Amino acid sequence: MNLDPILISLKTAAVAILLTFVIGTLLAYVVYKMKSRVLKSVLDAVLTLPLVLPPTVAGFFLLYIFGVYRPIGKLLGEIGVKLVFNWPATVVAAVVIALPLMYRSAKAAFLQVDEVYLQAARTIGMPERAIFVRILLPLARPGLASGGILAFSRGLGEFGATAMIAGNIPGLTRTMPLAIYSAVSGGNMEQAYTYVLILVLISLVFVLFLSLVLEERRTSSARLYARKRRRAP
Amino acid sequence: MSLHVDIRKEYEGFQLAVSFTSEGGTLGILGASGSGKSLTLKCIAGLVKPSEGVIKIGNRVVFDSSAGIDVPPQARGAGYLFQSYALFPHMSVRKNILAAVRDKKNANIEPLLARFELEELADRYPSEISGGQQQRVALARIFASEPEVLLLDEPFSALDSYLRENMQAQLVRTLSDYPGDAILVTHSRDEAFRICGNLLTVDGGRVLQSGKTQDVFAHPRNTVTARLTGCKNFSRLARSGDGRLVATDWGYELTGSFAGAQSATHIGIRARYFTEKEPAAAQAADYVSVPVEVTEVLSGVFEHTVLLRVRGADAASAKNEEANLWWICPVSTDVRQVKMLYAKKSDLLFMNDEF
Repeated sequence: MNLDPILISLKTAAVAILLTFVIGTLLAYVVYKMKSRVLKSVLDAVLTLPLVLPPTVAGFFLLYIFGVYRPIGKLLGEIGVKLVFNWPATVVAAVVIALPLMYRSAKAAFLQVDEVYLQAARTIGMPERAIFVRILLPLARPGLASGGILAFSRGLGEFGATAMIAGNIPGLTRTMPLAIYSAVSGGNMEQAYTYVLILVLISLVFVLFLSLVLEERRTSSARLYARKRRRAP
Repeated sequence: MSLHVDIRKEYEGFQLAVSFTSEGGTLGILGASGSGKSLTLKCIAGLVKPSEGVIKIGNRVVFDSSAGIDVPPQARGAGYLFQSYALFPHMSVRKNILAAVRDKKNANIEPLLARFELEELADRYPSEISGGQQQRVALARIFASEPEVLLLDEPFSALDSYLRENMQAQLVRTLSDYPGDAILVTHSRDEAFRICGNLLTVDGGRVLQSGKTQDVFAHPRNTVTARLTGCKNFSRLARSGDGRLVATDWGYELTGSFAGAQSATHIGIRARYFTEKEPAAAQAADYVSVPVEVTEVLSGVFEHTVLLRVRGADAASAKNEEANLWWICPVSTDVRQVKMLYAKKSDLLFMNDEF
């Protein structure tokens, strides 16, 4: 069995989730802090769009932006970055498709944090950046974690946009979903079964992990934090 | 240290327009829920932005709409004690207090821990300590930020009644050591009376009365203030043709002349200021006497709460809720035998609601 698709998929999902987590959380914070309602709604809609569009359409737009003859694609080419139909494109596709999940989870998590903690932090003189890092992020932790896992799983299963912008190059951009598609279309059912089984198993592990995180969120935060306490002698 | 507030704010359909100055000590803001008292505190702390006005903490203007000044809450030096205390649930007591220390390198919170008796609790999480302990942590955290003014938002509402009295005594001690001004927002007249040297009463976003706490309690100028300070008996006043006063809701005519009654629209008397003991003949002129009939008795542990009506009051006033008179007397009183109640003329409250 060829292990390449598994390794490529995991590598892509791992890099993609790091980018998705950071970008999604920061974007959620920017929108959360935004005062203008109109701008807020517009950004919210734009950031949610990749979730409701067919991935092939998202991939089409990506190709339009990053294509070799497009300004941005040209610029990347001049500095020696070959993105389209190369491995980095699988990451770009996964990030764009998974970003709405991360963004929406993070924004919901921020909105769930009782504002009184932020107000208290302000009146005792904590700077806004410290409040974000030391109060808002830790209190939003369960929501951020579940958003991260959802985004990772979605990135792992990404097919449509990846096919559009990264292609299906064996050993380079052929991720598991693409390998399954190729195996089935080539009549190689044995191989398809194997990849499907592996993909299902990996996804199951992460979704299980997710439901454990959510379960923890449901128990009161009091118990959550009490558990963290060091055992006193 | 002083605090000057003169602000207006429209907030979710509510109009706030308050103006006051505090010159040392603890100023109480007494009002029912929804009267705008917490909103006032939030405006002072910079958590809510007033539509217009001026806020000065000490000599510093922290908000001035016409000059475009709006100092962020971090730099206002206003220590805010929240109703729920707002301790960060994911930080230990020590970390909660450290979060307020500006100079982290030379931070030494041990004296604060000692002062609020928190040494034993320093490594616990907020969820693991009692409400009273949480309040002490919140106060320690506020003092760690070295505030110029303390804003206390209903600090005892989250505590049960036993703990409340303990914590009140503790807070009085803490405040007497504190050189800056403090504002205590409350709906409890007991808290206001015990803790605050000066008092404001507020209703519907407006200041109704301000002054020394003792004076506000002794001479409420309007019925809302009287009600907030615990008065239960009210009646509208009318003047008969020959200038005599009639408490129309009670169906009772007052005889004699009364200081402060000239422009009054309402009369009131506190439920504890009635007595069933007939005054000696020499003092009789200082008292009013009210013929009453008892309609209901609620017996408490130490005292009876008695509902009465003026005997012979006409049927129209008898249907009126305001016609009820409340009397609180020791349990030793033989309430059912009472036919006449007496009250000192100087204890009658004359109020004007047309302001």
